[in-house]
Amino acid sequence: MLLASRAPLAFRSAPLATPSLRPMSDAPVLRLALEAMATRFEVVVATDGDAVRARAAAEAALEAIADTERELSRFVPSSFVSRLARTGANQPLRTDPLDRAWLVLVDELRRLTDGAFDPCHLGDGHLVLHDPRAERVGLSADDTPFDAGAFGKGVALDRARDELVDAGVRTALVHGGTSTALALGAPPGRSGWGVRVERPGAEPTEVELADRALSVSAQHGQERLPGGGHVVDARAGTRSGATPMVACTAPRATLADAWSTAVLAHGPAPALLDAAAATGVHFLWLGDRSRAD
Amino acid sequence: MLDARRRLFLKQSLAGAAAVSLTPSVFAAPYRPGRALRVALVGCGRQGRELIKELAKFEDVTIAAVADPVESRRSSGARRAGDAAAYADVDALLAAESDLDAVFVASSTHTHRAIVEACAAKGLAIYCEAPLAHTAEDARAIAKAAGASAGVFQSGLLARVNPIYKLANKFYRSGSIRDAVSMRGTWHKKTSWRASNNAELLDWKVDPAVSLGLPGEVGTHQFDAVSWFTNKAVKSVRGHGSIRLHEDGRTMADTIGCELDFGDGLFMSYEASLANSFESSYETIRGTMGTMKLAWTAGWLFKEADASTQGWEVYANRQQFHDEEGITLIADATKLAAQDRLKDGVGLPHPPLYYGVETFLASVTDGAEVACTAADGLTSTLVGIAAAKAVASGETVEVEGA
Repeated sequence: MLLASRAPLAFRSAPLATPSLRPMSDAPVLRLALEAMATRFEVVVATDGDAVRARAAAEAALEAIADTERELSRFVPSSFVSRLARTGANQPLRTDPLDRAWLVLVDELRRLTDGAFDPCHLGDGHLVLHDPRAERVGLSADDTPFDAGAFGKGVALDRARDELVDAGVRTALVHGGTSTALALGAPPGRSGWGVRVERPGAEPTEVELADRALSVSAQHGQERLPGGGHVVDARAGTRSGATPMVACTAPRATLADAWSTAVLAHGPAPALLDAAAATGVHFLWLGDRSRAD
Repeated sequence: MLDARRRLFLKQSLAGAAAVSLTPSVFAAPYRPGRALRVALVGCGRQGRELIKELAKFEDVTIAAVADPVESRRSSGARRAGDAAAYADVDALLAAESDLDAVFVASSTHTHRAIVEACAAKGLAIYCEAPLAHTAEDARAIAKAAGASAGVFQSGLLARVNPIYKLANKFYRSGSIRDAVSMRGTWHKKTSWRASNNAELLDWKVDPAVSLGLPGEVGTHQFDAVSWFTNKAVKSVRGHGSIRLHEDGRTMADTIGCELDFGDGLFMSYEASLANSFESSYETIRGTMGTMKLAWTAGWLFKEADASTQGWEVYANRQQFHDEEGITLIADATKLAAQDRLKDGVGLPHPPLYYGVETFLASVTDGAEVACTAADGLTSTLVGIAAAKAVASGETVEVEGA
C-alpha cells in the first residue's frame, strides 16, 4: 500500500471563516483564554456576582486544558502518548484512570471505521487494549507515533467542564480553536449558549447549546495535505474525500470531537451513524446537507 | 576522507563523550520498587493529584488511602488513586490504616508539621513537599521529627533529582563554565492562586498569616537549585513586592523581586509574578566561561566565545535563542547517540515530579541514598522564609541558621 504524505491531525484551529463557532451571550461573563494544542482555548463563565470565584473556576478549567496538552501532545516528551510511542510493541503501559474512557472510544472508532479513523496513522501500528477497561494499553508496532489531534481538544474541554462543575459553576461555555465547543447550562433567560456555525457557500447557522458539546470537522481551512485539507483516511494514508464537512453534537466533547473526525475520515455510512446515535451523538450536517433536510 | 561508518562512529562517540549516562537510565522502563508498597497521600489538591498521577506509573505501588479536609477533593483523589480509602485528616487515616509503608505529604504548607510528626511517630517513610513549613519553628520541628524517625524522609525539592539538572551539575562541577559570576531565577504564571470554593481552607496561598507567598512557595525550589549548584548557602535576602493585577482584596504581593546574597560578592536575582506568564520558570547560572540555563524539563549550555571547544561540541544538539546558541543538555546522551537518536533526548521523558517519587521509592525499598534530606529541606525552607519576610518588609533579612 503506497502511503501518501501523512500530515498529522495536529491540534490546529480552523480559521474563523470556515467553519467556525462564535458564542453569543449577553449575560455578564468572565472570559479567560489559553494557548494550548496550537490553538486558543477560551472559557466563558457567567458570573453570579462573585468575580473572584468565577476567575478561580475558569483558571482551574484552563489548567485542566494545559494538563491535557501535557498528556496528549506527541511533541511533549513526557506526555502519555509520547511514552506510549516509546514503549515497545505490545508492551503494556499502565494508564491513568482519566485516560481510559477516550482510549476505549478511540479503539472502538478505529474498529467501527475499519481503520479510517486511527490515531496511529503516522506509523504502522495501532492501539492495543490489554483489557476491556484500558487499564493497560500498548501499540502493535514499535516506533508508532500516536496523534491525538482528532479528539484531544474534546478531551481537554471535557476536563475543563469537570473542573467548572466541581467549582459549582452552572453556566459556562468552553471552546477550543472555534471548532469544538462545550456548553454548561444556559445563560439566564435563554435556552442555550448561542453558537454561530459558518459553512462555505451557505448562510451561517445559529445553534443553541445547553449541556452539550458541538464539534465541526472539515477539510476546509487547513491545507496540509496534497489536495488540501488535513483529515486523513488512515486506511489509505491520504486525504479523506468522503465528505467535506461534519458537524455534530454530543453529551461530551470527546464524543463530538472524535465522532465528527471519524465520520469525516470514513464517510457517513448508515451503520456508523447508527453507532454514533447510540452514544448520544446527533449529526447536524453531513457534507453540504443539514440532517434536518 | 572518512567513510560513512567511521564518521557515524565518531559522531556518536564524541556527541556522548561529555554527557554522563545516569543510572537508572532515563529511558529505561519505570523503576520497579524492590517490594510491593502501600502508600498514603495527605492533601488531594493540585500537587496531590500530580503525585497520584506519577505514583500510578510504578508497578507494585498501591495508594491505599488519601486524606483531605475537603470532601470533593477527598473523593476525587480516592477515585483517581484507584478507589483508595478516604479520610478527612491524617489522624483518622493513620488510625485506620495499619500497614502503610510511606506517606506523601502534599497538603497546604502550614499543615505539614502536624502531619509529618504524626507519620514520623509511626516510623513511616515520608515524602514532604517543599517548602517544609511556613515558620522556622515548624521547619525545625519537621527536621527533628524526621531525624528521630526510623523511616526515610525526603524533601520535595526536585532540582536535585532532575536528570537534566544532575547532568548540568556535573558539567558545572567539572568547570565547564568556570567561576560563577551571577545567578538569576524567574517564575511567571498568570493565575490568581484563589480557590473556586472552600475559600477559608483553600485560599491559604494568599493569606500572609500562613503563606510564604511567591518567594517561599515557588522561590524555595529555585533558590535550592542554585544553592546546590554553587554549593553555597544564602546569607541574606533583600526583597520587594506589589500587587500588579489581582486587586481582589488580597494584601500579599502578586509580583515580587529578590536579591539573594551568597557571600563573596555572589548574588542571585529573582523575580516571580502571578500577573504574567512570559518565560514561565527557569534559572541561569552565569560563569566566566559560559552560562547554564535550566528550565526544569530542558537545559542549555551557552559557551563564551573565548571558552575552549571540546570535540563533542561539534556534534552536540543546539537551539537558537535570539542571538545566542545553546548546547542542549541531554540526559542519557551517550545511549541516545549510540542509537542515532540524540534529538529524541531533548526534554525529559517524565515530568520532574516523577524523579522525586522515583528516588524516594528507591530510598524506601532499596536503601538508596536520600536525594534531598530533611536537613536540605530545612536549609532551603529557611531561605524561603527569609525571602518572604524580605518581600513583605522591603528590607534585607538574614537567613536563620538551621
